[in-house]
Amino acid sequence: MRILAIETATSLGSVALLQDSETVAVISEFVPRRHLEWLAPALQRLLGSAGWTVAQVEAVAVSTGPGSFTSLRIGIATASAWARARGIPAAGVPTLAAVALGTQAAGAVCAMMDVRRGEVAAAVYAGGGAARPIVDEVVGPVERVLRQLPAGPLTFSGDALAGYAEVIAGMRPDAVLAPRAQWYPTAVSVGRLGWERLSRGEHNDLYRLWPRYVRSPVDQA
Amino acid sequence: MRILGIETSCDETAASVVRDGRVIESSVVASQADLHRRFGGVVPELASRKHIERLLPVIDEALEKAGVTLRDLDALSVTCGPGLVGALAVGVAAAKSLALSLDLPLVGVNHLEGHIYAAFLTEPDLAFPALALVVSGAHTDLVAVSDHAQYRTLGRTRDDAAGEAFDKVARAMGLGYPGGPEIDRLARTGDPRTVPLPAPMPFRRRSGRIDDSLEFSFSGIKTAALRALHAAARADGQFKADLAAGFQRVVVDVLVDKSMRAAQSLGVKTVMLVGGVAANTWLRAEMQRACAAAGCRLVVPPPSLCSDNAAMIAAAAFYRLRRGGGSDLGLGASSDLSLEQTPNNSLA
Ligand SMILES: [Zn+2]
Repeated sequence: MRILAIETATSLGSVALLQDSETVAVISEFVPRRHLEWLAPALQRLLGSAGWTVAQVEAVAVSTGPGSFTSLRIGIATASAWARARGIPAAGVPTLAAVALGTQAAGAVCAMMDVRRGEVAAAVYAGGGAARPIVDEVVGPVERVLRQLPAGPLTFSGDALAGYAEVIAGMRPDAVLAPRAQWYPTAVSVGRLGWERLSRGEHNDLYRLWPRYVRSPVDQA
Repeated sequence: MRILGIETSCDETAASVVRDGRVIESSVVASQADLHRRFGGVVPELASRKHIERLLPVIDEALEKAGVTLRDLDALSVTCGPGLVGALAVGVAAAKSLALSLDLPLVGVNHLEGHIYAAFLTEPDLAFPALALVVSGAHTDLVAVSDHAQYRTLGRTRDDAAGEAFDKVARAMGLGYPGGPEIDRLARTGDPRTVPLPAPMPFRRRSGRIDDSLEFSFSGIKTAALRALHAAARADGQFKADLAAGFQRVVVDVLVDKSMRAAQSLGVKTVMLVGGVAANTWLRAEMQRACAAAGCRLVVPPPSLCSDNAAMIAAAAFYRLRRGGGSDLGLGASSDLSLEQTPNNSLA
């Protein structure tokens, strides 16, 4: 199955084409607050670089958050409009799962993203690219989130490490911190996780493909 | 040429199919007013969330009502500003994705230009040069329109938009949101002469000073109305009706007077009254009377085309495409986009 994958949860915009779980082409660029201008031209370049036509894409995978609300909506609106226009399925993928999959670790991975306002979102995944979390997504101040995690060796990854690496190392002396290059979710991981769902026959109702928000809309301003 | 229009700049999620810039095959508007009402105004993040929930169903409904499929379209058009950036982004992202995946031309449309083109949906052979008064909850702009896409903004509001002043006064009186239609309704049973309010511009003229400016200011009259409301011994139903009538009359007088002076100085014979506040019955009647007296032709779209909709966006896009214009896939969204700026990079 030819898959088009879109990742816009963080300032690293990323798009990829996959044949099942194999990467065919990928473009990842830091585009802080420029996702809207960047995304469609990037998709056009991506297809061109792989020599694929629009009609050859058979499914769309998209990151659904947590992450920046506006940029998530840009990715999801693009994915669902594309799927609607081409009559192909779309699969939403949790962004924390994409972070975990993109992190090289011997054992379990705690994917942790900075969701602003002094809070992080985190989930724990068994190593080896498992799609289902051992610990489901928790949101809150980093200290509280860390106290909710199971004991034992954990590799931490995700953009929350930019601000909270010291707190994590302080509260969990046995923690392994992933290198910065693995913190940001990429469309390659989104595509692989999307393929896992699609190959099981799963996909999203396009009318209900929305971001995973970490707080209420009136709290946001 | 059949164009799908998409509009998500504020609190209406809208899609429309328009043929040749003049035949509305469908126009669907999902209003969020009920959701924002309890906050007394539009909450941007809430608006953006509702847009992404409703946009695809609204597009599908517009296609279905027009009896067409995406394959029958010749172009996509979308509002790219001015408006709430996060809200605009949902529509722009979807429109660009449709344009890319269907290999169709894309046109980013200025929301104000869209309002002006609602007049062309009403009267396709509208004569240039013309004057447009774009008046809504966000805008009060007097615009000289010398030809398609040839705009010169003559004046705009220095503070509140006219519709914003209506909303704030209505809110203080305990009326619903949006306040314009509520004041309009209440004013019908009121006497505009009962509650004395300073009439900014005619007042100055009577006092001998001349206000030549085509700029607007509504915060003074709004404050005066709020002060009168708070000072009233008994703000009963009749008082509120009288206040609504008095406030509405002053605002309408200013809008009509400045429009007619602009029309006269430009020597135009066509006046377009567009935007959400153009649905106000008093404004429509007074502008009609003034235009008739000045020998001008007034074009006012029906209320459904005055408030935010996507048919006006598709109509504006038609005239832009006809001149070889359009946008590329790098189209962005802007909170502040003047009529003189062409939305995004490419062409006409
Ligand atoms: Zn408007």
